[in-house]
Amino acid sequence: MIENIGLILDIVVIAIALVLSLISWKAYKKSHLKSIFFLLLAFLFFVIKKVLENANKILPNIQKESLDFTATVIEVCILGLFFLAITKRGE
Amino acid sequence: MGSTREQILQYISINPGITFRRLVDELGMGIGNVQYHLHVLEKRGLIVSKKMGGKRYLFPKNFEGKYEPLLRAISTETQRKILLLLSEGEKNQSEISSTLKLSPATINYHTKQMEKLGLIKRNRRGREVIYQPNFDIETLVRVISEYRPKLWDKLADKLIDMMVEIKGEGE
Repeated sequence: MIENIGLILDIVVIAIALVLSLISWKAYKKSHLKSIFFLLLAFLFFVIKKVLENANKILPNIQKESLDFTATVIEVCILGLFFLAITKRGE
Repeated sequence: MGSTREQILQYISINPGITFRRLVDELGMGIGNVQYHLHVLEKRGLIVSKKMGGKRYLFPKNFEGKYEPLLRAISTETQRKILLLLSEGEKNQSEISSTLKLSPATINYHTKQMEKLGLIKRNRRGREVIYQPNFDIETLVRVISEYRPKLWDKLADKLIDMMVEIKGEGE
């Protein structure tokens, strides 16, 4: 039961992250601001991270440890991109 | 040139930036008829058309090169508001900032963008920076009155202003 709710919540998170990616893409096309491009990448990485976290439910052969490791690396990338989005100067 | 086609061309020359739908309504002609003549006029290079926000804007040939910066600025909410404000007359940065209730950094960013597009002029008067319109006001008002931004555009505009505000530098 809890597992199913967890999966539904993950799907909701993926959908929200995709919507935010689309908004960022539109904003980047209009402004060409690098900070918005970093935001766009961060949201896309978030989608990838969430998909990876749930990948073993669809493909049970994949090693959970390597998935966890990749998801953590992506998490670091996401935080790095948010940091760049806030601090990077110039267009 | 046929008289109908000539009439359409003349109407677009008098009303640059008119939408296809308004042209049809105001001339009282059939959609198919106007569509055919516009196709011919565009093919002959006598008019240019641009789609934006689901509407087709029509310009005479002499607007080539001028309409794209205008449409680009109009598609961004804050730039659209600044242009409308400047159409009433020149304004300084703090006047724009207080009227639109936006930070000086946000105003600075958008005015810089429009300056690059050649839509506004920046003049220094003592300590003040004065912005003047550098576009045909009638055309601007005509295009803006027809433009209806989509939800995605509104959200994207909010994100741009938010990022400029956070960074506070008007990149």
